[in-house]
Amino acid sequence: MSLDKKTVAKRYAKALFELVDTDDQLEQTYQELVALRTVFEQNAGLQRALSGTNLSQDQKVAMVNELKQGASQLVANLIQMVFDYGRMDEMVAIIDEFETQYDQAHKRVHADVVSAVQLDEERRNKLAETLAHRLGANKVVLNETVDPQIIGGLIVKVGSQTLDGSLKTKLEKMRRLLVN
Amino acid sequence: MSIKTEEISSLIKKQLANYQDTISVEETGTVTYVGDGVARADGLENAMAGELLEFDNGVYGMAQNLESNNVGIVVLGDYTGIREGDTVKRTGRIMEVPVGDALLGRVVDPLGRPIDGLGEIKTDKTRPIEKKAPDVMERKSVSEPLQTGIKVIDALVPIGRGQRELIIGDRKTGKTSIAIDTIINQKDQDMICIYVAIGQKESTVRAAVETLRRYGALDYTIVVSASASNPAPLLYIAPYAGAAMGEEFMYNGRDVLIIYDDLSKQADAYRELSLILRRPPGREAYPGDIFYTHSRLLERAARLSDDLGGGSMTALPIIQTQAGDVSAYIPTNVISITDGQIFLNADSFYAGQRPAIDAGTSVSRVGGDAQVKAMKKVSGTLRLDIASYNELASFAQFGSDLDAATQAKLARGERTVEVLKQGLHQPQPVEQQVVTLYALGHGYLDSLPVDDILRFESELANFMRANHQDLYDQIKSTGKLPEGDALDQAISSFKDTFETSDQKKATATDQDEAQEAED
Repeated sequence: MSLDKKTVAKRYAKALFELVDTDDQLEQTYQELVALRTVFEQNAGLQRALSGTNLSQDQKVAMVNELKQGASQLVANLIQMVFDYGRMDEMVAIIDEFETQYDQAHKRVHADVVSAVQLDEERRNKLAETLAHRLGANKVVLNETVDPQIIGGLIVKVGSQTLDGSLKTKLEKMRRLLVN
Repeated sequence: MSIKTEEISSLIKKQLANYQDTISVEETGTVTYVGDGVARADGLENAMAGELLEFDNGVYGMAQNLESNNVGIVVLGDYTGIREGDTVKRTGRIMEVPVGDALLGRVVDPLGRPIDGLGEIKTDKTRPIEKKAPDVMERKSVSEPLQTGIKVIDALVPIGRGQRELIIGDRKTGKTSIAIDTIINQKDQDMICIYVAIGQKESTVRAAVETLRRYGALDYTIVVSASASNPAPLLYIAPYAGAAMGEEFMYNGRDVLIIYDDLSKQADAYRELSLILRRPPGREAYPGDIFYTHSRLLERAARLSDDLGGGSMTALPIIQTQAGDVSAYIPTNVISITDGQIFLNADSFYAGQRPAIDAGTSVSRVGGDAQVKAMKKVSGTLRLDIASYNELASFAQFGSDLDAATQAKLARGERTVEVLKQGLHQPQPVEQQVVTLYALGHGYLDSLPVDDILRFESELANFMRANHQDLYDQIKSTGKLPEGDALDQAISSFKDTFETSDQKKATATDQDEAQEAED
């Protein structure tokens, strides 16, 4: 049975993280990886092209070399190894996993915030501060989305925990209370 | 009629008063796969095995496989409304069903929701469907009988309260009938009955419920039905839900009879579920823990010690075999777990011997201790009689010249087999059974034609009720045969008045002739 994406990504990310953590290159590697992820995200077909069979080996090697341009030795090695082992499909997942490990080491938390209207600076800071206090983190990074469907309030997702204070959910709860 | 706005508003106000405005904090996961009654979800890292989970659309699921990156969930309800990407949240509860007196006389689904259209079940008590069976020190040995009202069972394979007795046989051999008759016979016996129908046709369940209602047995019975149209997870949990309902009564010192009809279908449902959850298949494609599935269920049947109130739960699981093959995987498993089995034989069923119980292969490993003394006395040699009759009968087909002893044996055997026949839904009280078997054992039936045996039996019962009710009462209260020759006298005085069919016909012709002569 082939390993699933998450298991593979965890293994690569752990190995890389342990390596750079001892070599004091954590911050730099992390920045490079985030940049690499942006490249993949902006070029939607890139990951598939590198792992698929549409391109010839030479063409793929050329593209990989392009990616390695300007990368530090460790990141370049990672890209080359992932490519050689035919795991290019899991590259983004590996970076995500690496980020999780980085977050854990720095007590940083990523939170997905859904709100009905765009948050202003003041509220954003207050929310980040409150969440940091609640979760015992040093820093909270907010990924904001605006969804008018929730009518009012906020939905905050941190890892597998959901804090739901939206008006939509409250109304739904009230409806169930009345119907049942 | 006008709409009373005031009343409605006040009602809504009352309900809204309970509403609390809090931010819900929940652990959630994301559905990554859904289909065939199971879903997989990422996240939910702290979910417990067997925990109840809630999907976006209000459908519940049960956490089954806890793997490193995802959780396998069986969906208890309609899975077509669940989409990939939906959230699933933990409820922190283990699966529970409502229990208590309010369920008596009702038909419910495996989640305890009524399906008989008689309205809400008002009970606030619940029990987890999975519970560890009582351990060694919480039990005591089986000592009280459970009367099935079926002569051949009460005489040859007696069942005690707290026992687990398997009913096994091919399709259409009367397995369910035995179970239903046993429930009917529990009237006024201070027994709670639970009938768990697993994977049966809705019409069959309806017919069973109507039968129970007609014989007044529904008042002390709970019917749990997971019919063939329910998804496999509901079929799988149905017997555990039934056991949980039974335990409530058992731990309150009551006696409970629970029937699982049938566990082959539950095993099939669990196989389906396990294969979809990608658990490795084993023998006959059943998962590795299919034995544990049945053993932990049947272990919950017990007779509790006096400290715990002395309640009991007797289980009658039913297993269907294919062409009488008891060495298939599930039958052998369940035979080894139970305290004996009642084996129904298709050939004898079609030969007209009903209930079609095979006296040779049916056994009860613990019920003998619980049998009424009088019954033990009259049924002592029955099994041997039948065995030697079967042996002789096949042999006697070839020759006609038999010595008197052999002929007597054959005659007795033929009558024994005849006496053990019994109609559908006609359970008999134990004292009646004892007198019938006493008459058989003491040779009162030997001189009667075989065709008249069943009529003799029923007329004897009427005669005894009319003239010797005291003897019946004595057997019932002391559990022993009456001392002296009172019983012999009663039976022979009845036999003197009994007319066989031939005699009747003869008298009828005599009278006709006399009539003609007169004319």
